Amino acid sequence: MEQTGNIQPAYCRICGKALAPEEQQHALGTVYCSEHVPASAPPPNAPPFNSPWTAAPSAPPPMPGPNAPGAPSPGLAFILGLIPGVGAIYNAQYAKGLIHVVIFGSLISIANADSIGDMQPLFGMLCPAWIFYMAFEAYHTARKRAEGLPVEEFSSVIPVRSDGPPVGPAVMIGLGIIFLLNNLGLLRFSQIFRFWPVALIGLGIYLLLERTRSSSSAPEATREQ
Amino acid sequence: MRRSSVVGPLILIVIGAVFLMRNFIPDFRVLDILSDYWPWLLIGWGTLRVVEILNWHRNGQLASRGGMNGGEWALVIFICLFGSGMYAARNANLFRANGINLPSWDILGERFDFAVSGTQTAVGKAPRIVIENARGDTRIMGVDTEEVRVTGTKTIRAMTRDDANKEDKSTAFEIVKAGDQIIIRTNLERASNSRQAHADLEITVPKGATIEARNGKYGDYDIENIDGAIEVNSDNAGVRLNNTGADVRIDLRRSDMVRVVNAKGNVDIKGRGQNVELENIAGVATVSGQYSGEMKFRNLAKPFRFESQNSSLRVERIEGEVELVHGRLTGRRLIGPIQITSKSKDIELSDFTSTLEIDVERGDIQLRPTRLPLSKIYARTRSGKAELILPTGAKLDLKAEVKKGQIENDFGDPFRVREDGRAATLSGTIGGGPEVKIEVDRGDIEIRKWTNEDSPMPPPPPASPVAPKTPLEVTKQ
Amino acid sequence: MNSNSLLLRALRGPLTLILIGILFVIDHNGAISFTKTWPIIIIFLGVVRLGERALLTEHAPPPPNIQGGSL
Repeated sequence: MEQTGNIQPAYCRICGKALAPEEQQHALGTVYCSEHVPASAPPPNAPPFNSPWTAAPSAPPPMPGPNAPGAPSPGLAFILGLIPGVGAIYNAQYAKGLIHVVIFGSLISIANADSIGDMQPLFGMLCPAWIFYMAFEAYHTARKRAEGLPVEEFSSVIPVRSDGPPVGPAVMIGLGIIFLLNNLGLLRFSQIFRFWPVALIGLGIYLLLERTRSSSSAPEATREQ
Repeated sequence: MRRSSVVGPLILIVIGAVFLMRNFIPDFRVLDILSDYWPWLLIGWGTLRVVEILNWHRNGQLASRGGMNGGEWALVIFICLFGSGMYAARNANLFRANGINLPSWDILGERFDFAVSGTQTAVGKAPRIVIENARGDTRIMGVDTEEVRVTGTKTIRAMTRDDANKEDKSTAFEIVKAGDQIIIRTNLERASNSRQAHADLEITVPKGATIEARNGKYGDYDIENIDGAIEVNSDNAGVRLNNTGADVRIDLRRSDMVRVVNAKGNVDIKGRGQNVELENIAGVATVSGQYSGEMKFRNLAKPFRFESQNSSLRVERIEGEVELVHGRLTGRRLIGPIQITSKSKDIELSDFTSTLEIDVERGDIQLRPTRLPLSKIYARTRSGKAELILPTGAKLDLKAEVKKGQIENDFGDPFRVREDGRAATLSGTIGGGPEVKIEVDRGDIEIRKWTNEDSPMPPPPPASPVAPKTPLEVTKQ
Repeated sequence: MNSNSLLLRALRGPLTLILIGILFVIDHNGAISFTKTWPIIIIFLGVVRLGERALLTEHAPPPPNIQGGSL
């Protein structure tokens, strides 16, 4: 028996089109329209060929299942990802590959620069750390593609949350402002860096809030029985 | 239905067309215009896409992530790198990032060499020589002669030898006498693309000449055995001077090395660069500006002054050497008064005499006076460690204060440490000597004696050699 | 997902592109070097993402109820 109060209007996860119940295609735990439902069949109206210049979706095409021929191999992606840029290129994320190369080159340049002086070990450590990040990111992206999930051009292993405090954008804006103030000479890194324990405190508070929120919703669920 | 953008491919076509035109119309200064205005290409592209997307949105055709796809971003990044590179190559003196150095536009054409030579006779013993060589290395030697002789090679990059010959004619080398000056000009600015040509010159002049090298854009100067004044002014040059008789003035916007040795006059260096070396300077020396490499100053007989954004140093005389490397200033055998201030540097001085004043915001200070008697010392660091290593027999009135930290007294009596919460002071007097004051805000202070673990005390200056006695007495030793 | 949020998301790229172009124009006219102004790009992206989220929660349906129908 349907209860109209419980049927929520659904929106396709890809294109946002409002879908009546009969139009909804359920896959991978969420709702798609018939055009964008992934994995089992390539979406209708798929472009005849995919080159970076004419590709209609900016996302690389979803691939057949993990064991089908032509599937992206996460293992191979990992190995290729150790070479700067190649991992992303393997996953057809060309711009990301280029950015990876630029970041890699910049890290090495900075690590060799004279002007950083005492911070050389830090940048020296960041180089291998970045290499492994690239490899793992290529691995995860290839795995997602092998499972048929759509993948954004600039996907990354850092999860993006759409509820709760906007960590991602807040961090970006915060970092951006800090760098800008330093570059314009208004507020140098050295003066800000003294407050590093505040970051620790902030992290603690954030985690606390996380835990109390999830623990406050769990008891409710059990109570309903 | 998903639509793909037309703008990406359009941009590609436009760029291709522009470069094609450049290849076939040699005088089309497209690259100059492109170097300056390429960012507008990005702005235009973005605007077109915004309009396109708004259009799609209105027609309900908005694709899921119809913003910019990966290929387009790759093109954007490429354009940014390429565009900045072109801009830098064209305005090498304006681009402020470190380490990017694009002296020549090495993409098109091949290199053609042309011999350069010229002579100006009967110039006297001390002519005034002016050199204008925009690009290329210039070597000047003072010899016993009364004429100016120039030889060298001009290298022109062009598509064909005919083009190169044309360029060679328009950048004719000239050496002219104008009033009391001899002017040597390579006229490279007249080339259609000013970065296509460079000239390496070798010039011999009378020893007594004065030299002025100006309007240099890129290229080194090597000058030797000149008794007259020397002035070098360039946007980007390595300068090496050896054996000069009069004042030297060097002003560079960028450089990799400035080296002046055996100078009898005053030396004044300013601008920006990497390494600086001064050795055996008989006159007053001043270095000011920003230098990112190693600086070494050895045997400067008169007062020396160094000024940069971060630090300043004043020394009456450098008998030994002073080295400024990587946020660290080391000095050995200095004659004061010495004054050092810095925002951030570690200071290590040994064997210095006369008054010393150090004021550092961040940095460690290590002082090892070895010559007695001591003079007045004032050393202060806001954040860092201060070490005072005293020789035996030192006489001083010592007062050391630390606001947040500890004092270690390895010297012993008569110095006493008194702790007061987070602060500490040490005081004591030996023989009522001059006042030595050490102040540290955050850090530690250590006072100790000179032990054998430190480098050995410098030997006393050698006595003047004595004529050897008869062989008999010598062998008795 | 609603269409305003999608629109902003799609516009994110081109608007960033225009911003980059403007920063380089400022650099080339000698005002402030790009190597100093680049953090503005990151700030801009963060602000745009905040905007996307804000538009998202404006019209989004409430999250589906965990409980099934009541008896």
